[in-house]
Amino acid sequence: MNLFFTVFFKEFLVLLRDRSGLAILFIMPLALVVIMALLTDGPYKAFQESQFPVILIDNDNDSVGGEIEKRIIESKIFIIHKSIDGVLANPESARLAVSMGKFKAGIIIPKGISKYLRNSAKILVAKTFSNRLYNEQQLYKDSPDSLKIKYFLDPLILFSFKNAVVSVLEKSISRIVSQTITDTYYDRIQSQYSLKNKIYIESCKIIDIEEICPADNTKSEGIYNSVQHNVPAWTMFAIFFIFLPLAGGIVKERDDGTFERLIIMPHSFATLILGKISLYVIVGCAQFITIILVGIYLLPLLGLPSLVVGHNTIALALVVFSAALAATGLGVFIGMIFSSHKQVATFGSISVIILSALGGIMIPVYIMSKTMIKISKYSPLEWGLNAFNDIFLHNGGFISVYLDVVKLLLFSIFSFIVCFILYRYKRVN
Amino acid sequence: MDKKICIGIENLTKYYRGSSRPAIDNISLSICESEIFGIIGPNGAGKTTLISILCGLYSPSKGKVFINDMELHKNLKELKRDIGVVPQDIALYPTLTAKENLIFFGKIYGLRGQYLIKRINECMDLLYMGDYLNKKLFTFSGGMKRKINLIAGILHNPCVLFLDEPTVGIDVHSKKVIIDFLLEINKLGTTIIYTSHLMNEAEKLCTYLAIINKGKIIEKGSPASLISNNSKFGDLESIFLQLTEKSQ
Repeated sequence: MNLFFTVFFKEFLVLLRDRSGLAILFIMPLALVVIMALLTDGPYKAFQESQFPVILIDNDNDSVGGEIEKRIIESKIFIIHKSIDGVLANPESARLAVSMGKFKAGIIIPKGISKYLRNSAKILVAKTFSNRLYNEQQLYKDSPDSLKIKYFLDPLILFSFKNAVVSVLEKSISRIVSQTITDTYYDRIQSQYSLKNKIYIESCKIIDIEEICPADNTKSEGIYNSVQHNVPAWTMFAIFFIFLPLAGGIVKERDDGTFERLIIMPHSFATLILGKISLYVIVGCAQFITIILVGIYLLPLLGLPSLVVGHNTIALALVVFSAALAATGLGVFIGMIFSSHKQVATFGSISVIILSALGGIMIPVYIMSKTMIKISKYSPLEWGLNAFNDIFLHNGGFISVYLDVVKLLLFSIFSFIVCFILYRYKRVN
Repeated sequence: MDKKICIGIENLTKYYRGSSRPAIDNISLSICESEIFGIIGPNGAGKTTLISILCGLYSPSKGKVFINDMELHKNLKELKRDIGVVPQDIALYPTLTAKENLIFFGKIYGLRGQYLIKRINECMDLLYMGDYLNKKLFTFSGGMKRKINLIAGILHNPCVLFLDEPTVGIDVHSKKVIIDFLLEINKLGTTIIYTSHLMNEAEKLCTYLAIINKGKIIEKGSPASLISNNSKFGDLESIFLQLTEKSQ
C-alpha cells in the first residue's frame, strides 16, 4: 500500500507541475463546454421556438374553417398567412408560393364544408331516431371531392413536418365533426322531449394525454436545451481526454529511461500502473465536478439556462468513475503501444475525436444512419454519454445506467489486460 | 583465498525480435564479490543489452544468470532489492526537485522516514550536491543530473550495482567526483558492474575488464594483465581498437 501511495504522490506532483497537461485536463474542456453551449443555444432555441409559415385559404368562413384556424394557432408550430405580398391568396397563388418555398404548406378549406357537415349530422341523427341502421359508409360516400380539405407542401420539407400538418388537420376535423354530431343529437333530444333548458355540452377532455418522465414516472419538465445536451456530452469528451497526459507520461517515462528504471526496482508493474490510473481517475472525477459546477453556476451568468442534474447521485458517481477508468484504460493502452509523444498526441487526439463523433458527442446518435448507429454502439463515449443522458435528461437511476457502466468497466479491464500482455511481450522480446 | 562469485553468467544469448543476429552471443562470465567489473566495447556491441539482462529488465533468449547463487530470472522479486541500477539515460523526473526524486526512488526501494532523509543528505554531501537538494532537476547541469541519477541507484546500499556509462557527456570535475564516489562505495563491499567506451576511465576504475564486440566477449582480465598480454599494441585504448577491429 505504501508503494501505491508513493507512486500516486509522485504522479500527483508531476501532474501538478505540468501546466500544459493541467490546461488540457481542466481549462480546455471548460472552454469547450462554455463555447459549445453558447454556440448551440441559438440553434436549439431556433429549432424549439421556430414557427413555420403556412398559407390558409378559408373559403368556408364558418365553423370548420374557424376550428382549423384555431387548432393551427394553438399548435404553435405554424404561423398562419392569408395573403401573399399583401394580396388575398387564392388556390393558384398559394400553390405557386408554396412550390417556390415562400410558405412551408398551404391549406384550402372548401366553401360550404361546414354546411355539409351540419346537414350530414342532421341526416345521421334523423336516421338514428327513425330506427334505421346507422351506416357510416353511406354518410362518407356522400362526401363529394369538391368538399375535401386540401393541403400542399414545400417539396423540401422534412417528413416529420408533413406529419405535423396532417396531425393538426385531422385533429381539427375530428373535433369539429364529433362536436357537430353531438350538438345535433342534443338539439334533437331537446326538441323531442320539449326540454325548456338548453343543454350545454361542455367541451372537456374525457380522455387526455400527458407527457411523463420515462425514468421515474413524474410529469416531464421538458429540460431540452443546449446546456442540458452540451454539458454531459462535452464532459464525457473531456474525461476521455485524460488519455493524453496519461499516455504521454508513460511514453515520456519510457523515452527518458524512468519506466525501465522503475521496472527494475522492487515493486510490481501492477502497483506502478495502479498508482498512475488512480490519480487520473480522480482527475476525471474532478473534471466532472468542475464542469458540472460551471454548468450550474457560470452558464446562467452568460445568459444560458442552468444545468439540471438528475437526482441519482450514486448512479452518477458510478458512471463518472467507470468513464474515468475506461479513459485511463485507453490512456495506458495507447501509452504502451506507441513509442513517441508525437504519435500519442496525433493518434490519441484523432482517435478520441472519432470515438466522440461515433459516440454522439458532436451530433446525436439518433439522427445518424442505421449503419452508423450500429457502429456507435462500440464507442465507449456513447456508453458514457448514454448513461449521462439517462441521469441528466431522463432522471434515471442505477437500473437505467448499469449496462453502460458494465460496458465501460469491461472496456477498462480489457485495456489493462492488453497493456499487461504488451508489457510482458516487450520484456521477453 | 579465492573471492566468492557474486554474479555467474552461463551461455547467455539474447535475440531481439525480428533480428537474426544475436545481440548477446553465448556469453559466460563470473564476477567476484566487491569487484569493479568493466564491460567495454564500441557502440552497438551489446553492453546495454547485457546490463539490461543482468539487472532483470530483459529476459534472455538462452542461458542463465546467477546473483549470489540464486537464478536471477526465477528469483527476480527477491533479488531486485539487492540490485542497484544507474541507467545511461537521466532516468529522473525533471519537474521534481532532487529531494523529491530521491525520496520517490528511496521509497520504492523500501526506505522510509528519517533513515531515508539521512541517507539522501549523506549521498548528496559526498557528491557535493547538498546545496541543490530542493532545486528542480531541469535547472541542473548535465553533471549534476548524472550525480542525482547515481544517487537514485545506490540509496538502498545494493550488493550489486550496475552502471551503464555513468559519466558520459560530463565535465572532468564531475567525472572525478563520480569515480571517487564509486570507489568509496566499492570499498564498503558493493560489487560494481560498469559499462563504458572510455578506456582511461575503465583502466582507472575497474579491477577486471571484459571487452565485448558483436555480442561476444573477445578478451577479459585485469587492466594490467590485458596490457601485458597485448603489450605489442601499447595502451588499453590501442588494445581495444586492435581487438575490436580484428573482430569486425
